[in-house]
Formats: sequence, C-alpha cells, structure tokens
Amino acid sequence: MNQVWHKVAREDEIDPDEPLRIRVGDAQIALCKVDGTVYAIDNICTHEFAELSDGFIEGDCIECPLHQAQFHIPTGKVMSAPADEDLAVYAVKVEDGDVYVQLEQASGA
Amino acid sequence: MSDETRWITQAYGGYDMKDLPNEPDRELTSVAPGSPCGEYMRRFWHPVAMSEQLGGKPVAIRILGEDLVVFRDLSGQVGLVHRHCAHRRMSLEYGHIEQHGIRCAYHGWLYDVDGTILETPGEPEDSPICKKICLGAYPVHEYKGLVFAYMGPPALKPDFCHYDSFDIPDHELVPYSIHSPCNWLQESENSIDPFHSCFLHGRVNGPQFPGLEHFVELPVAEYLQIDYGFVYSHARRVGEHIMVRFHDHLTPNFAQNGGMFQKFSKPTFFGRPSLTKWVVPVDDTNSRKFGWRHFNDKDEVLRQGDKESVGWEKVDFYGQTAHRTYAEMQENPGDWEAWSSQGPINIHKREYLATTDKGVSMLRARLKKHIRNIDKVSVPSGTLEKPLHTYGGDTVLKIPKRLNDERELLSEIQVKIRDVYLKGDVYEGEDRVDFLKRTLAELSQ
Repeated sequence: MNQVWHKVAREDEIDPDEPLRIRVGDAQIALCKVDGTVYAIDNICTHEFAELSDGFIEGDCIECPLHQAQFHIPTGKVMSAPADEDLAVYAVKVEDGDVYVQLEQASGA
Repeated sequence: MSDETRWITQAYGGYDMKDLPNEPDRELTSVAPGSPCGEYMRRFWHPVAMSEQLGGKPVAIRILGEDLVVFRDLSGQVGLVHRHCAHRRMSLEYGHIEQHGIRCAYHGWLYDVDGTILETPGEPEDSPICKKICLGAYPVHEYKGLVFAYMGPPALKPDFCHYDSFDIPDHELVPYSIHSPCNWLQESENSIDPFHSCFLHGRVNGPQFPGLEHFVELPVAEYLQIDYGFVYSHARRVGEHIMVRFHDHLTPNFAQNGGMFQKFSKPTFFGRPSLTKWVVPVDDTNSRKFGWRHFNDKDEVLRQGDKESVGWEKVDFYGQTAHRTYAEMQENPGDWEAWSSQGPINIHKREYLATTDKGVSMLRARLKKHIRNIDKVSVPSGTLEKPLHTYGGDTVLKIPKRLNDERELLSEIQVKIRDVYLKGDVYEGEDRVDFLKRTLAELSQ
C-alpha cells in the first residue's frame, strides 16, 4: 500500500468548533479537533451531497447541515439517520505543529 | 439510530403524513423574552418603526413578542415603552402625548421616554412611587426615517453601528416597512438563497425584475464566513461578460443585495446595494421587514424605480407584499408568497434540503452556534468616521469563455473579485472605492 503523508495545515489553524476544509487532489477532507486531537474525515456526507465542514460539531460528533445526519469523528461511524453508511476517515499525524494526512484510507465503509 | 420518519418515500404515500414531525425548531424561531433566539436577537439594534408613523398619537406595535407603544413627545424625543401602564396596566396606546413623555389616560401617570415616572397626580405630594418603580422602556435611535431600538440587557448595549452603505454618494435612502404573516427566519433565509432567483424570479413565470433577466441562468455561488455573518456571491455568464452579484448577510437578520433597474451590459466595478434591510420578528408567527431602498439615478438607468411606491407596506419591486389579488399571486407568485406560504413557522425537519440550499443550511448552523454561545456573540460596530465595510452590489467583468470548465471559471472569478474586495478593507471612504475600482478594472479584458 502506498502510504503518502500530505502536509495540509498548521495545527493552530484548527478551531475546536470549526471544521477546516481541505482538498488533497480529488479528496475533500474536513479536519476536526476533538479534545485537542486532530482527526481527518471525508467532508462529503454519505447521505446526500453536502459538506460536513458547513455543519455542526457537538462533542465528538459532527452533524450534517442538510439533513442532520451525525457521524462519530474519530471513527467515521454513522450515528443517526438519514445516513446509513459510515464516513471514510484518514490517518493523521502532527509533527512540529504541522498536520499531515495519509491519503490511503485508514478505515471506512 | 433515530427512527424518526421525516419524509414521504413512496408513491401515493400521502397517508404516511401522520408520522411526520410537526414541531418547528424553537431554538431558531422563538423570539419571546427569555427564549433562545429571542435572547440572541436582543443583543442587537433593530429597526422597529418608521419615523412617519410618529404623529399626534402613540402607536401600538409588537416586536420580539412584546407589546409596546412608540411615540414622539412634543419636545421631539422618541419613546419606546411597554404597552401596559405600570400602575393598573391600561394600554398606553390610549395615552396622551405631552411635552415630555406620555400620560396614561386612566389615572394620569406621566412617563418620560426612558420609562421613569414624572408624575403620579392622584397620589399625595410626597408619594415615593416615582422613585420606586419604572415603566419598561428601551433606548431608541432615529436614523434616516427609521427608528431603531435595543431591547437587550442594558449593560451590554452596543453603540449603533454605521455601515458604509448608509452614506454612499448619490444614493438617496428611502425607508419602507412590510409585514409578513410568518416567522422571521424563513423570510430572512430568502436573502441567502441565490438559486431561487433563477426560478421564482426567472424561469417559472418569466423574469420579474427589469435588468435581471439573466437570473434565468443557474448561477455558481460562493459563500464566505466573516466575523459578523456571510459575504456571498453568485456568478453567471452573459455573452462576453461575467456578472457577479455580491450580498451581505449578517447574523441575525441583516441583508444587502445588488443593483435594481440597472443595465449590466458593460463592465461595472464595485456596484453598491439597492436594498439595505432587516427582518424584524413581530412574534413567532409574524415578521416585519424594515429597510431602505437606495435610489440612485446614475445607475438605475432603466428608470423603473418609483419613490412614491416605497414606504409603509409598499416597495417598488414585484412580489414583496400582501397587496395583490389571489389571482395575481397564483399567476405570478413573488417572494412574499414564497416565505409566507411555507407556513406560520416553517418546519425544518419536514424539508429536504438540496444543493440549492447551501446558504440556508450554513446560516442555520451559524445561528445555532451563536444562540448556544451567546456570551461570545460579537455585534457589528462602525462609526460615521469609520463605518463598517460591506460588500453588497454588482461587479461585471469582460472575461473570455473557458469552454472546458466554464463553471470552474465562474467560481474562480468571483473568488478573485472577493479577494480584491477584502484587500480594499485597509482603505477608507473614497480611497477604498478608488482602489477597488482600479484593481477590478485590471481583471476585466
């Protein structure tokens, strides 16, 4: 498996309340900070085409702004209807304040 | 996972309606004192009356679910007070306006515009009542024909904010106010949805607004979150030109759009708004729009604007009031029908938002963030000398087509224009306008 780490942001750019939207090639990703840890989730809801970065973080879940589907940020697990498919998540590492995302999927539906 | 059924999902499935949610989102729509959205709204100044309403008699009004009376006393001061007298609660809409304040008709108690009691004529000379209690009152600010009020915690009262659009050279601001029989949010959301213009104001029954016939093209839109809300834009190609309209949408309820009755057949650099407006809650199921129509002969070349048609319950562009026949509304429905017929309070859980509703969904998420973190809410500030910069208006550039990815081009161009607008923020007044016009002209072929 080709494991490529992409430097995508500075850690201090990421607000706990605000997902940071980034693109790596064709992949659309939202960086979310939960309890100080940065996670990278696919930014497109698995229910309809909507950007989760426009939505709502509450605790360790993110809510889609269109139809309020919820996903567990650390694992991408779908937590509520109307979505029924888990969200892809990406491995993240933080080195010297820089956030890296691994483009091969770490886990996902 | 939630089992809640929100939508009908089968043909001839009308019967399933009995299982659908029936409750509106009270967090976003309730406006009474102490309610979540009501508390949030109260941190801001809102227009509550037109100066022309203030004549010889007090005016009963209802704002944010509160029954109030607004009046101008004989010394010229405007008062906004609770409707019911602090003594025996007769309505002050029957009160007598005096040199200073308003006198209740029942027992003659006289209140100053700040709600303090000036006289209790039926009581002994040394009565301490006027030192003990007051009538509820709110600070007001009268500006260009509108009366603004602040109804929040006194200690948190912000200064009245001056926006750059209040003083645009050659613009005459004509005030207006229109009622809608529905919750404030659904009326306000209309202003952050550029896609409806394509259909409601364009394709479905023909173009409704002279000069904006090109709205029949489905635009590419870009949204930017800023400190006080959103700046968003939408772009379309018309022949050799790309037309970009910018809007301000500041939370909770302020919006500005682009030009009216103008011709966009040649490059335009940093055009300014034709409407500056607020949607003010009357109560949970009624709202009242207050704003100014910007008249400016230099840009409104189609000469279809009409100052006489702008004022109380009237404005000079189509479809904004109740005052048409039902047959006319069905023949050619306008904005007023759109937001009013969603229901007294639209039920969000019954909607099925789609790609055209990006602005609406972002606005609701943003409002919720503010309502849940009310202590972190920042209120716009600007003075006459250094007004708050806004961006609503049109920019039209001559740009060659890019056949392979025209929609990508429309997105790039409006973001480029927006970047210029934001770069211009380091300047003030005429310097800012000059910088913007000069820099935008360089983007046009």
